[in-house]
Amino acid sequence: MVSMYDQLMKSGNFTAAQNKKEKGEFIESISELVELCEREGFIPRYYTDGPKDRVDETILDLKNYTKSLVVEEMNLGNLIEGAVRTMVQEENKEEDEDIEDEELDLEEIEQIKDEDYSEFVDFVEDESANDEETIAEIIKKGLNNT
Amino acid sequence: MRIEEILSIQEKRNQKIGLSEERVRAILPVARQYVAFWREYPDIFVDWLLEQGNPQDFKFYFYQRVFLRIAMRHQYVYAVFPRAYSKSFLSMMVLMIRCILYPKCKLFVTSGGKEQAAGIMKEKVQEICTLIPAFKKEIDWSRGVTLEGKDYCKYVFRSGSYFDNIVARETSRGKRRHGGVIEECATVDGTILSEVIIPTMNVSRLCMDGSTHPEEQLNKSQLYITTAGWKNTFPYDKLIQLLVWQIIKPEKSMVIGGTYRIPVLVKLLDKNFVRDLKMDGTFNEASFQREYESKWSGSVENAFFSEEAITRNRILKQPEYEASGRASKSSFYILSMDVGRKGCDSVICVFKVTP
Repeated sequence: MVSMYDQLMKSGNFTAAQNKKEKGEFIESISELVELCEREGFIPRYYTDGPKDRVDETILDLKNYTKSLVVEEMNLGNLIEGAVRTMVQEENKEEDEDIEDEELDLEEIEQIKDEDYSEFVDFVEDESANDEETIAEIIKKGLNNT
Repeated sequence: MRIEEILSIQEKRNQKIGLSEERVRAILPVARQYVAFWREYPDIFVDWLLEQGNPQDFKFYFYQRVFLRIAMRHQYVYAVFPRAYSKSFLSMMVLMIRCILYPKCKLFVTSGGKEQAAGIMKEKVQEICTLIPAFKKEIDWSRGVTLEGKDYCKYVFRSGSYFDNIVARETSRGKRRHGGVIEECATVDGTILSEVIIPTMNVSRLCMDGSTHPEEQLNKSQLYITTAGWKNTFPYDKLIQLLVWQIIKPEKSMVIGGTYRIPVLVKLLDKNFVRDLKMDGTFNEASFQREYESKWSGSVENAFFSEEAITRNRILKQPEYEASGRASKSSFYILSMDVGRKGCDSVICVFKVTP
């Protein structure tokens, strides 16, 4: 009887949880509210033009102190320069790899073979024909001179 | 919108009213500004949550506000703090706030041991939910959704965000997360961290409008939390790396640290306890420096063997406390002594030679 009662309550949407869902709250938590907010579009970072309270001032002060400490320390300065150099090298390496990838594009390689090969053969044949003619002329001139 | 305006809006509420879809949609433009603000000022978000109910009169200490803001505003944070600094408590709170304010994000906690991370998570989440009941309402406690096991914990939020613990082992390879906390990172294996854990953060979070923004602070966010360990180890090198990044990219990285004095000042740590530790002759001074002064124990720079490697390999599997009868007849012992002068320790070494 009890289980039958429970089933009837659930199928008829008479339970307290189902009533609450239908009648009242569209959302029940901040998480859901944030989800709705972001559906409207990306939420950009909150911009502040400087420290707003003592906590912000403390964070800024910590950062500035560490920076001055590190920059004035010669050995760490070298480390930072090294890190910057490595970063630049890595970026250059990535660019080189991109260029290499472009050169190895299969479609482009096929295009070169199909279109340029016959032109190249014709060019070589023309060149050899011209060479033969030039050589023949030189020989002819040489014979006439003698 | 300025902070003063947002705070003045907060003062206007206090009457419980039903949240119909129309009402919610009407406040979305303002709510979006709130969310952006809370992401930068997480401590004020928690203050606001506390206004909904604060049974234990919880208040942030000043340094806790500093910690929370730094952790939420930077992608890479390395925090070296002593015991009782509430660093695990704060780092779990950072994860919970991120799960609320960044829908559908996936975060992780990892540490040296499998059970260690799960244990820390469970204890701290329960503590936070007790102190700030509003957090409890954000977690989906349905059966089979949020899990609290001995080795594995997973807390799923109502927006679908979650954080769980992942093991610092090869078995975690291939998982995908957007950011996380590396608890007690001084004990985490460097190779596993670099090859398995950090690559889990390759993919950026997909926002609810379908866009991705790799520059978002959440993406690839790494919060390293630890007490000090040894120099010439991976965690120390990582600390130096993030320090260098802090100078080059101050908007992305920050290193912070502190000593036992702050927890003593705010009475999280008993002053007498620390004094007794200092007086205790059996407590190693280097240990005290590491655990309470956040000083990394040094070893000779560019040493061929790291102190950690020697400590790891000096364990005798079959120690002999007296001349052993198990050796062959030709075996013998050599005793050597380095005599300490003027209060220094003397060291006796025992070598067993088996020709």
